[in-house]
Amino acid sequence: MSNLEKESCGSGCGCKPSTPDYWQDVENKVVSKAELMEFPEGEFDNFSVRKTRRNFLKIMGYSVSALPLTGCIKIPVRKALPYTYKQNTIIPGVANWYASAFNGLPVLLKTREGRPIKVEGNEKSSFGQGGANAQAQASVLSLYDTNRLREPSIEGSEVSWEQFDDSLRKLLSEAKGRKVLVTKSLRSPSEISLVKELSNKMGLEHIAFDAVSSTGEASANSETHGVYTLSEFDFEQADVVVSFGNDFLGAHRSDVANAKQFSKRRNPKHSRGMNKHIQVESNMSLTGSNADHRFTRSEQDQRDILLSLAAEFGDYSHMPKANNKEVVAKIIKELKLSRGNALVLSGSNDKNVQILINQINHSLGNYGKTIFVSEKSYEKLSNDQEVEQLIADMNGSRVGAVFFAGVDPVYALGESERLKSALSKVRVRVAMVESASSTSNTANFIAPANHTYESWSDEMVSSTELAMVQPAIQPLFGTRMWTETLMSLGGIEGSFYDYMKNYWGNRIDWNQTLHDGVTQIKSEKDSVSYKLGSINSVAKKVKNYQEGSGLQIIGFKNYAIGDGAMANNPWLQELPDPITKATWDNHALISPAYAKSEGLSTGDIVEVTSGKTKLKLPVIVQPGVAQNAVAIALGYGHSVGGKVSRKLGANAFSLVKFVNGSYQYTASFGSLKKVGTGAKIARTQTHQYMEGRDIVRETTFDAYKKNPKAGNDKVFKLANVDIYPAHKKDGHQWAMAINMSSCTGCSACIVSCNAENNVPVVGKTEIARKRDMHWLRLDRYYKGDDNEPEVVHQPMLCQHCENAPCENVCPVLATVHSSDGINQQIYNRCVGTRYCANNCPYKVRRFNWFNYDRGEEVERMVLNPDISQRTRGIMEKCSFCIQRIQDGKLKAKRERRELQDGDIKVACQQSCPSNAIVFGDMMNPETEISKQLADERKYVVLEELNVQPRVNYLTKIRNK
Amino acid sequence: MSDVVSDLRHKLVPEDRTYKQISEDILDTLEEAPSKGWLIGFSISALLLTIGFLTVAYQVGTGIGTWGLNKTIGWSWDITNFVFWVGIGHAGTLISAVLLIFRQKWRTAINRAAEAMTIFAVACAGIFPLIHAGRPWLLYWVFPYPNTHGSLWTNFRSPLLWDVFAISTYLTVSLVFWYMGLLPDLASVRDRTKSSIRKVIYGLLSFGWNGSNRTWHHWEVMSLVLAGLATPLVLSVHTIVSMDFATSIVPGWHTTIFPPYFVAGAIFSGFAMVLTLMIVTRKVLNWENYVTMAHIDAMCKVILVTGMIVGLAYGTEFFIAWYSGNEYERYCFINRATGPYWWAYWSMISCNVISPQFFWSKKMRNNLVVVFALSIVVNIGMWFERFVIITTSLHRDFLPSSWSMYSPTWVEIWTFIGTFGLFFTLFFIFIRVLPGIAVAEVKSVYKFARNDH
Repeated sequence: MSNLEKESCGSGCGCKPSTPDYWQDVENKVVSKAELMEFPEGEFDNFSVRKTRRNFLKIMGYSVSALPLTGCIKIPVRKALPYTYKQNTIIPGVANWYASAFNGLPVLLKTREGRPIKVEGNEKSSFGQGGANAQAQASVLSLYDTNRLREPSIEGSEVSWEQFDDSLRKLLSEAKGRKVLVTKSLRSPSEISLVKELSNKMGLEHIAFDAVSSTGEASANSETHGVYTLSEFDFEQADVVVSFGNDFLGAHRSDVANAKQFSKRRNPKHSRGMNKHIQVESNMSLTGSNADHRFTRSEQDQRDILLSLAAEFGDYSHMPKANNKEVVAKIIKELKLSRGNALVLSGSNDKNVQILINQINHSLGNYGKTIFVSEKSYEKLSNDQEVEQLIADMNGSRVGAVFFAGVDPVYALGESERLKSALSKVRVRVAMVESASSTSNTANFIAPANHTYESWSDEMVSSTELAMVQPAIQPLFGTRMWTETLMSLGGIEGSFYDYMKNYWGNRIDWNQTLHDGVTQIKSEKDSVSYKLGSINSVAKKVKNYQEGSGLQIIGFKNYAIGDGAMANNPWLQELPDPITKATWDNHALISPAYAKSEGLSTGDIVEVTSGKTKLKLPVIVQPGVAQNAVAIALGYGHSVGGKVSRKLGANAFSLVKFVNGSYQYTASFGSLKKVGTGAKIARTQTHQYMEGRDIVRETTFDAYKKNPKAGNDKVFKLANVDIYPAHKKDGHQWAMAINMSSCTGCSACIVSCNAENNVPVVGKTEIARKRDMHWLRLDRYYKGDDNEPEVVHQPMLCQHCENAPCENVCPVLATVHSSDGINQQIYNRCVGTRYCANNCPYKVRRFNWFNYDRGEEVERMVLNPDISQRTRGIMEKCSFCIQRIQDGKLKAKRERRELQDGDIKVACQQSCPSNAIVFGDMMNPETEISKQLADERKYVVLEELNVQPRVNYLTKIRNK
Repeated sequence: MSDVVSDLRHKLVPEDRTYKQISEDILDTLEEAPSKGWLIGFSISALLLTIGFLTVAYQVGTGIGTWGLNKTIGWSWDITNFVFWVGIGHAGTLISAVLLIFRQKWRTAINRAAEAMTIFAVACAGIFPLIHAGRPWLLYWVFPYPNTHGSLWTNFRSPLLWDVFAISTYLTVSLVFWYMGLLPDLASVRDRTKSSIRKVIYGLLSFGWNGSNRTWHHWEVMSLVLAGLATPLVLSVHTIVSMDFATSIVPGWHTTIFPPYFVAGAIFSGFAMVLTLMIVTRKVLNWENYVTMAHIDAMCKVILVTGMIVGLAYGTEFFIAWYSGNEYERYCFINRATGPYWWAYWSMISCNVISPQFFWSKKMRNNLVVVFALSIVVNIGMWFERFVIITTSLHRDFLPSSWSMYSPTWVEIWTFIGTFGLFFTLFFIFIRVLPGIAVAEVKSVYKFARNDH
């Protein structure tokens, strides 16, 4: 029996449901009689005797006398406590929340009846401030991934953990040469302490490997500040942000913290005014799409601009190229205006480029104000040189054992044969991973690791804040924390929980920290002093950087899939890329100009060739890509992996090059050849322009300062021409406001909504047929020149119209208005005429074209039990998270108090990393929503239709 | 023939026949074994019907997802076909009811078949609202029956509910009207047949018709009353169907011109379908003496008039879209003519506005090949009209982010073909088992323009 069955009540009590599911939903209510009458096949095969009266009596007699014997069979005793014996912590129907952290983001896990079902940002964290990105929210689905490894195995055969440890220990004692543990960059104090202890006990060396490396930045800091670490930022302090291809609001790193800080300065009412954001990049990034000034520049041009800045702010001389002069002048002007309150960033992994960035920040006096480099004793960061050294040593047979903990270097180095052949020379190869991967396929020992939410750990999410990782469920499968696997091999007694608790001792208030999920270790960020003198030689290296010839190939992390570690997560695969709006695949993104010159169009299939590497990809013509470049998202093209990620896209890691001591993602050059047409690209939005319609209202900061109603001065005189009487407005009246200036378009809200409302995943083919089911979508429109487009993102969800066009047309009253102003969809009343969807001017209604697959039993554990699963033929849409409204109201009632503003947070609002969504009762003048509704920037989309939406938007303001 | 008769009056039945011969001309076919042509035609129709039925069974079993619809385009071929068939069903009632009230005696030769066609077309139309629903097995909820759902009832504000009433009333009245008209002829069949089984069946079907004065009197009065009831329905059905669109807010749908425009279009397509059927039937069953060139000429004129009404409506829509100043409305119409579905729009214009213009010429109206071809062209055009209205309006509405394209799947194509299978299967059965021409009524107008009684 698998652990799953033992645990399926989720209470940790070891009980097992005693009856099969009699009904799953309203549709399949009753198990058919025929099913109940059916005998399992083979049950009565032994009774193939002739049906005579005597035989009948014989069998009858035998059966009757055999019956009492069954009483002698010893049935294993299972401990099961029904809910009638109330347990202290579990109340059916009431959620328990546990603090944890995922990939450097403090989160709260909502568990229902013992099962984690939703991830939300931890509002106690001063780092994440309650926001959560798409990956953190989707991580709860990865917990239930049926492709996870379930039992330890040696050379492909399953063994028990005891056998595993014994065999491995024996082999390790025989192994000669280096013993190396490869993890991703570790920021866990207790894990690092454990690894140090093991290095003493077993001679285990530790190196870190990140699929997308930041060695360049760390090495630069090492040279300029003497610390091998990554910089920290304070975007709220920055009046001007200049970013060279750094996607700090998107896939770069700590996107939630960055967006939380950054969005505060996108508010025109901030005491220091709006910040100014200039982005220079070769590929349209999420961050670039939000810039006040965005310049499409090739990598070479970016270097040219950077050198000009270095010349302006350092001891170097350089004249920018003619086409960059304007950009350079603009940036220099802005930076000089905000010395000490500016921030210059680069997304490059080239050490020399990052040194120039540091030097510019230094000479502007930004260190200690907007950017910090601090000593961190708890950190083991990836270093690409160490990885290369390891490969060299493996090839030279100088490595006896290698342990991979949660990393997949074989995939992330582009399935490199070099690494595979090197690995074959290592005697002991241990993969401590959650699911089979290209790397684990080369291992002879596989130690399936716990998911984060089954594990104990801790993590320094910033230099000041410690987050705790605690399990919210017992391990679903026969897995073990990788730390415990190592402890067992190293002969350290006890569990990692003990180790961790012991490690912290009295230094933190253990219970409180566990409860809050976070604690402050240091009160303030600090920065060590800048050491580097002249940058002349570095700048020369940047100038003399060897370019290849041909088309520049830009590998980038996209928002949803990132480095590919979570590629097997269907929520992320189906999350439309914030820019391309494509799902389930990576593409060759080329500029409109290049497409025109080569006669290519979206949907063509091309072969991108660089050296020996060939990638076959569908083309998307992407405004804002540099002319002579092709951008390809990393993280796709897994040859090994789960059913979701396999066969999707091509592995762009194979184009990554090791240059100047680090892996570089823009260093490959090659060519592109059309090999086919008609690729089915699964995009949720296929028309990219607003057609001059009044959908997104926009103005500039200067215009706003003169007139807060700037850009929002259109007035529709709507006569009272309604045929039907208006709805009464008393009690609570719910409304939402979306700040178009804050919203970055990151799409975290979509995943939040999916998880909260059991929105089904429909798959690539269905998305290609434009049948995405997301209740909330982000419309993205381009404006202006195709080469230098301006971008707007607009969250679009059910507008909960007062005069809802959908309500009138439903013949069976399946969509009706509630007394608190919500447009409600009554699933079990819906017959599926789809008239409501046709008549919805916002096209936010979603139809269940089929009975969508909810996955296997273990995958269905993620479903929110408060929300029914919709069967086919039913319309669905945003409900304003009515279950949360109900929950909030009941809670206030139980506590005998008035409902307070903020008691109810809808899912999209809760997760929003930029606080762009406000929800509340508009009848109470004190609420945040009432204030927003009174804002001069407030407008509603398609106001002239007089449908009177309850979802309002605030004008987008660009500081240009 | 007597010289008293005006030259302007031409005989409704050109050749001289006795009443017995008229009965034989029309009713003998019911007594004979089916012809080879009938067998082939019936088999093909039944095959198409079967494939269509299996397709629908697959679709109902699997989901609407088997169609080509998407989040933007919630209706396309389904409702296009529905409106198409309802439109075709228009001619029958118009011919039998309105022309009866207006004393258009020439109607007698074609009213029976036209009414049958109406009923069959409405049956085909009725399939689509049923199967287009996500959960057709619950569609009985659209009927306002007393139930235990608490305050949940039907939504009287919804045009779809009005549709339910309009279509079901139309079907009921058409069916009753048609059946009442059949009674004297069914009695004739009963009286003529030599087979005892048929005698029993037709005896039951003819409700004991005895041909007495009283019976005839009741029958005449009933026909008039039913005609009076049916006449407003001719207008109401398609008016209500058009309100499915007109009361919505979708640009291209939300327009007050729809009721008259739809009614004219329906008569247009209905007469075209009657022509298609009658041209073949009169030839196969040798009914040239009853369904004469004069009938065909008259129907061509109706098509010409209604075709021009429809053309006027197309023009008016465009003008109003411009005149309204509504940017969504304007875009919608420009998009119809020049957008990705331009070919559908221009097919519609050529079929519905340009092609009927041939009927200005009497030569063309009297050329059976031309009339037959154009009757089919008109029906293709009218199908495109509904496709243009429904699909091209939906595919690009208010927010460009949701704009999308539609193409049918094999399921939709075969469902549509299947309804043709149903239509022709029913029609083939009809002409084998029921009098295809109203014998009694033809006899009553036989004397017209003859002075010999």
